Amino acid sequence: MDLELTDEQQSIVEVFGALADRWAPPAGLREHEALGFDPKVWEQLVATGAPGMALPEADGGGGATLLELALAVEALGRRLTPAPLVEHAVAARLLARAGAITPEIAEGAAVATVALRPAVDGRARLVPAGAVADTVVALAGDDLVRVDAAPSGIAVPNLGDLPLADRDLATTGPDAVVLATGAEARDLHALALHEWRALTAAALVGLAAGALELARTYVLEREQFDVPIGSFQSIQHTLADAKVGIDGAQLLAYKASWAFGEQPARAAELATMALLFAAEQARVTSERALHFHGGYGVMVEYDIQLFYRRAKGWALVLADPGTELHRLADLRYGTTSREAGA
Amino acid sequence: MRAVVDLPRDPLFGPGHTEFREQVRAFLRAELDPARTAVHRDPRDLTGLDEQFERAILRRAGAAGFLGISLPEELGGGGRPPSWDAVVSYESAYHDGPLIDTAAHFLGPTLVTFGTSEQLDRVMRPAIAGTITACIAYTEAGAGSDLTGVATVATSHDDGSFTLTGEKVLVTGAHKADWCCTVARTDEESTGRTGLSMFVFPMDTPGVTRERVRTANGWDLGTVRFEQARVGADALLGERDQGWRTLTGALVGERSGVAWLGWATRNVDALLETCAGTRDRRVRGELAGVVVELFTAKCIAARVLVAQDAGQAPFAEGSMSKVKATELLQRIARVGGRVLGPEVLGSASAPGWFGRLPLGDWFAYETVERLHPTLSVGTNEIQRTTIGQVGLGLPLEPR
Amino acid sequence: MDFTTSSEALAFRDEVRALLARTFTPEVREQMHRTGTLHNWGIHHALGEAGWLQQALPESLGGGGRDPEELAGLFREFELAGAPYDGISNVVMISSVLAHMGNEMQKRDVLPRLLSGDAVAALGYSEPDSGSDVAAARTVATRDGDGWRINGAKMFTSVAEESTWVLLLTRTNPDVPKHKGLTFFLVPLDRDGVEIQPVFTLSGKRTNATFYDDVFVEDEWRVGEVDQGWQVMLVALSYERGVAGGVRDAERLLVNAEAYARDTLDPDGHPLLEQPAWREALAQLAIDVEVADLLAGRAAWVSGSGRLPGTEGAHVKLFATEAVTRAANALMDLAGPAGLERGDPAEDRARVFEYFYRFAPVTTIYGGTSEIQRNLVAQRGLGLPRGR
Repeated sequence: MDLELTDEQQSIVEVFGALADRWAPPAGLREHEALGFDPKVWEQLVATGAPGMALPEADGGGGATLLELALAVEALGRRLTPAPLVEHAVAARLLARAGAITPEIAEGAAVATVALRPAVDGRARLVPAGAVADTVVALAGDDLVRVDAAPSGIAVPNLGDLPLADRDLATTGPDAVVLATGAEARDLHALALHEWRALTAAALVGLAAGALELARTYVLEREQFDVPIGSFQSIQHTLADAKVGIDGAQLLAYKASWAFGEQPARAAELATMALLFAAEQARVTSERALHFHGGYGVMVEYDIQLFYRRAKGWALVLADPGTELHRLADLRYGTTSREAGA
Repeated sequence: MRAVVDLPRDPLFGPGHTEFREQVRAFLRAELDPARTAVHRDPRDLTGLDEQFERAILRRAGAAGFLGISLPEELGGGGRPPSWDAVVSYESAYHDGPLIDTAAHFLGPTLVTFGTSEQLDRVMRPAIAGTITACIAYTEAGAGSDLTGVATVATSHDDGSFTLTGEKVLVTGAHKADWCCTVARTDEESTGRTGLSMFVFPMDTPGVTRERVRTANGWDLGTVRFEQARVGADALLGERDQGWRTLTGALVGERSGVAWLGWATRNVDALLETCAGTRDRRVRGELAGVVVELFTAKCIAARVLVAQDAGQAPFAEGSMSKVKATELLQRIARVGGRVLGPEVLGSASAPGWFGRLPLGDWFAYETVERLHPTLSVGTNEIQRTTIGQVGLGLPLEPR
Repeated sequence: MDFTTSSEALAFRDEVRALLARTFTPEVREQMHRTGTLHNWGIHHALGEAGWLQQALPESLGGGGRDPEELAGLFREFELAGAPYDGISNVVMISSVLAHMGNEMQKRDVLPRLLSGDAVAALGYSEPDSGSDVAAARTVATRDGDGWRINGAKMFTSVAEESTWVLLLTRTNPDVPKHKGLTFFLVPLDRDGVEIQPVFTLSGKRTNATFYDDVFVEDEWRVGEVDQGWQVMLVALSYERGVAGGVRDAERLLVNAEAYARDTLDPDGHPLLEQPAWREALAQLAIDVEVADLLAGRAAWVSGSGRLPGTEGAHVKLFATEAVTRAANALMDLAGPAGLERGDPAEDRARVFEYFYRFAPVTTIYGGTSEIQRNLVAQRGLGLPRGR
């Protein structure tokens, strides 16, 4: 194992970290809280080449690996940066594989996203970035379709203030393109979902680290009973467990992202593991961090509740953890004829 | 909504409570019929109801004798054991009613023990009648878990009156309170537990201001400021400089713990109803788990009620009940999330479940809402310390 | 960044497996279970002959430079096989200490015997009244002529029954703060006044209480300076090199549990592995094993790359042992009544759950309890202040 970052990787961490710091709460995030998307942040990302950084150079991208994209997404996640880089990058890679990438999407002039769950009656429910995406790629029946349509700019009010929206997928007409059908469609979509899992895991690792930092800062400053509450063992031990869990989740998210290029036979399994584990660490860390803020933790003006709500939102938008755990079991042990509930 | 009737017996209340329970339920169902409440929603209030509507319910609850049911008869109360008051809290929680944070709950037991006859007349009677509201303002920026850090000052005058200066935070219901109960330092040289006194006075006393502060779920707590607020000698509650004793007594009574269980039961019932007939073994397992834990939590709370009815003050069991019930509420919210999946993402910034919001929206609300119970009325860390020291006889922490 | 295991490490793992196949026979296994001693001379001599004990020493100390990743692989194969390694890990730690700061006699007469596999030694830190608070040791060493008299008692002195020496932590100065008055000695266990009493534990492992009644050692048996024992301890810890035993137990449980679930049929004739509850528990354990593996790899990488070690060792110890404890309970429940029967897991895989249920509790206690690890992570890793 070698955990050394290359110079290029190190600069990704720094550049995206600096970008995220500029938009840290309360300023940028709260201003756009209802939508969960800040167009100025997106402009900044476009300027750095982020939207297409993990596209092949031949497709107008930066040729970066998924691992490098994970590093960027983690740095942004630490500050809850309101920009759907994960969804856009996953959709762009999917389109590139299907031979349907466009310069606008590669650059980020148009925002793209993937519907995580198959459409029902021509409608994809709760599409991440669905409120702001110009292009949606979705499974509709037997087809993998790409639909270009102006976004509503209005998010379904949701727990994590994500730019979620339902999207209609009219599959006829000039704005709809069938990219693939049948097994090919399902495989393309499945691969995209696994990439989404790995990258979302990285984002959740960033979120968890940000929440832990808030907690650490607070318990060092806050005094009760004449001492900083950070000197109480129950608080120390809980934060220590959080730290260990976050480090483990980070390594697993990195390995999962790395595997798509280097160990593809394990990529799906690792990505599923990574999302499950990172989601749980983010949930527990942000919940405990909020708890240690005492009453202030539930005040809107304090930032920690932003982390708490997004920890659940970013993960749950795909599926509940129980279903995901069974998908992992299926990957490891083969699917079974018995249903989860039978 | 189907109640959980499949357990051998609901352990929380006994046959002696049945009739009263029915009365309270009937009252609440009538008052809180969605057709009535629909036009009276106020998502900025913890009760979910607008103030006028809420006050009207309070008055009628007072007239029905519900609010002071366990306060002494000679003071206008119902003279029943404490467990009857728990019935009111529990059913109010179950039905999303506004009878939990009442003036009678906040002030009743403290006034009974420490109040002058004038205070009982001026405050207790209207509280029992449901004609006044109140808030309790103890917490300060520097005094949360450690209330000895209270810095609000009450300067005394020769005529026995006091001038209060200071700021209280995280006050429930401040914006609609008629009366305020607070704690301040009357011995200005003192620190720690000594030199504190409790006061109760009207919120419209000159110098008392309040500001609404938004919480993560959209409803407001309050900041209450005392800017040279002059209160009379009749505002002193309990003995001067002995406020710590008064306060400790008051804290034990606050929120008996059964309200948490009312909310928990309502949520579990809703999940059971939604998932009725499911063959998904995972869902069944999750639901079975919370049903069992809810039953256990009620058994613990029942112990507390029995002890209180016998005139005891069960510190350790009270803490156990609080810890169990509040953490159960969090578990139920998580189970809701796991069972309902992405549906939970939709949010409802609307406390008060009138009109039956989609269940996913409701559990999104619960996911955030159930953060504060493990913090309020003594964080669960403090409660666990009490359990360890009072309940298990473990030594005081090194400090 | 690279998550592959080096070919050298993979090759070494194969060699270790081959050695175990030769030496970890059913007879050896049976003896281990019967006596509870987690050390076997046949295996140990073979390791010594292969030169691996010598190679386990860092190059800077004159060793053969097996890097931490390879060393981790050695312990991994032993743990996965359930083979005894207490003697090995003691030797690796103690030989590092002696190579670093042993005197001439120790380097001449003790170290070679340890590195050749000819002899083993035990660790004498814990006492009846001091475990986590190791600096509170009460075993006393007082000057006697040109030597020392040692009086006291140690607990959990594992492998003492096979050892030639014990690395003993003593108090040589009661008048200074506790961690400033400690001194280490290498005490030959055949000296007058040494008594070894077996202590049997929940998992079946045998350890010892050792008693020291006016035991005399010449000054040449002192390791490090007088009253500088705490420094010696820190040196010993630094040579752990991110390689601890006890991090692969979860993986061993997973492998066995998966095989069990695959091969065992429920009353309807379907493999248990098809049942949702089994799938959930195994999938969850698989995640924990993957994370423990990554944390262990990181600890070895930090150590092997010359970086200053921080709390990586604490991370892996805490996580891996808590994970195996969770899993032991979950899987025991799934195994149901059939899981209660005791026996040798090597003979009948179904016995693995009962064994792990008895074994898991000690993992979060030895080698620094989980609470101590959390203190380390919180204070050294997160910079939180000491309480009290």
